[in-house]
Amino acid sequence: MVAVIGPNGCGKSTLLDIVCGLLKPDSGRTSGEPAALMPQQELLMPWAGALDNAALALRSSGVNRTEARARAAEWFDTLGLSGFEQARPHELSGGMRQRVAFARTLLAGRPLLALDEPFSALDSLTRIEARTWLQHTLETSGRTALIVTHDVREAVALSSKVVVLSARPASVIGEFEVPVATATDPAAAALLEQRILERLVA
Amino acid sequence: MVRAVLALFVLCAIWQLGCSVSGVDPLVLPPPTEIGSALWSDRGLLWDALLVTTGELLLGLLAAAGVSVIAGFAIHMSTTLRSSLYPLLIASQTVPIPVVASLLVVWLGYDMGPKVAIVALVAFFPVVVATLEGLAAVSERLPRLAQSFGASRLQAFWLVEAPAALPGALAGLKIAVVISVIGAVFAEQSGGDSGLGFVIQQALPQLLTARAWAAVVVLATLALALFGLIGLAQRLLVPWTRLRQSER
Repeated sequence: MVAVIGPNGCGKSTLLDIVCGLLKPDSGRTSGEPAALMPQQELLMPWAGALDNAALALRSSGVNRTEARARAAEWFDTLGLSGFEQARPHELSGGMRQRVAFARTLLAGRPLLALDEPFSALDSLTRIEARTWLQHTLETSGRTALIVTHDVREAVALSSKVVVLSARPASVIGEFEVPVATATDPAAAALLEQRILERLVA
Repeated sequence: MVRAVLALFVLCAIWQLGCSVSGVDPLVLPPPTEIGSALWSDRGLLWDALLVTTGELLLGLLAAAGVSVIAGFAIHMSTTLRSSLYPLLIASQTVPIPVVASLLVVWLGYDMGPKVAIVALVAFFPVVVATLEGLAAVSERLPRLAQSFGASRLQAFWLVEAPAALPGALAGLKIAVVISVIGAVFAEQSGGDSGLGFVIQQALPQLLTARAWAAVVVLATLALALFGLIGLAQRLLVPWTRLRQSER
């Protein structure tokens, strides 16, 4: 997992929009199949149940309703959403809405997922929980994720590489490899976080 | 509901009292009791007229809803159509209905046609505007997200935008119902031989004021019933809009 970190308004979300093909770049180009976006606001359809919301990714690629629902339902267990298939977004908690949006992103079937501040709307307790299921699901489903955040600690905790962007106009001002050891060594993690922060405010 | 009935009752009581105290000629202002007895004695006539007017209203509203949804989709999907058609739609609403009504009678004759057309004409505008509002309420990122998942523009529209048109269309219909009753009465009076508007038009020169008022009561009840019917449809078809409102 690669984390992109940068100051507010530097174009992180725009970068993801381009990577996912929601926007066309003014110049330059992207290579490979577009990634599947998990937008910052969940962007769920208020009229549809959780299952239908998750199934949107499949329906968009032409899968019929019955099959799309069945395949979406398979993820509901893993993500702890069973029993809420018919619940509309306003009946779900913030953490559950994120999981529905994440299921939708997974179901797009793209090897690369683009997550735009996936946890910014969650309280700190739900956030830790959410990180756990995110890491677990990414590992078991063998996907790569590009995650945008402005939380250095989150970036270090989640990813194997952190890319630092400057303020507008954004350019890459630093790339940090995150050693596997930081997962078990709080001191090493703290040191790395410090270095990233320094680069960010420099 | 109970409060509304109570308020109506109080209003009738004041009306009744006012009539008997002021000694106003019942031909000018009949007291509620006379309107009540006219409702009963003219029930056959009023019932037949009610059926005619209800038919005109339902057909007109249906036509308005159908045309609005199609027009709404077209205007929503195409900026060219939005900038070319939308101003025309608004302009069409400023053409006085009396002019159109007389013309329609010339074109379509004295039967149901012109009435349905006028109801549809009057009802069309609020429905199309509300449909467009409903469609505009969907984040523009949602269809783009669906497209990034592989949907075509049209598929994205059906999947993530079209369902949002329904609450808008129903909200518009609620407004349309009330004004379309006026449209129906007007249409019947500009050339027809049946319906509640026609009953009122015939009753007044014959000094059957109570009958005219009875027809007004029936009309008001009809409008209320249609309004309630759409409220029910909202509850059944678009429950999420209600829930969101009660959450606020």
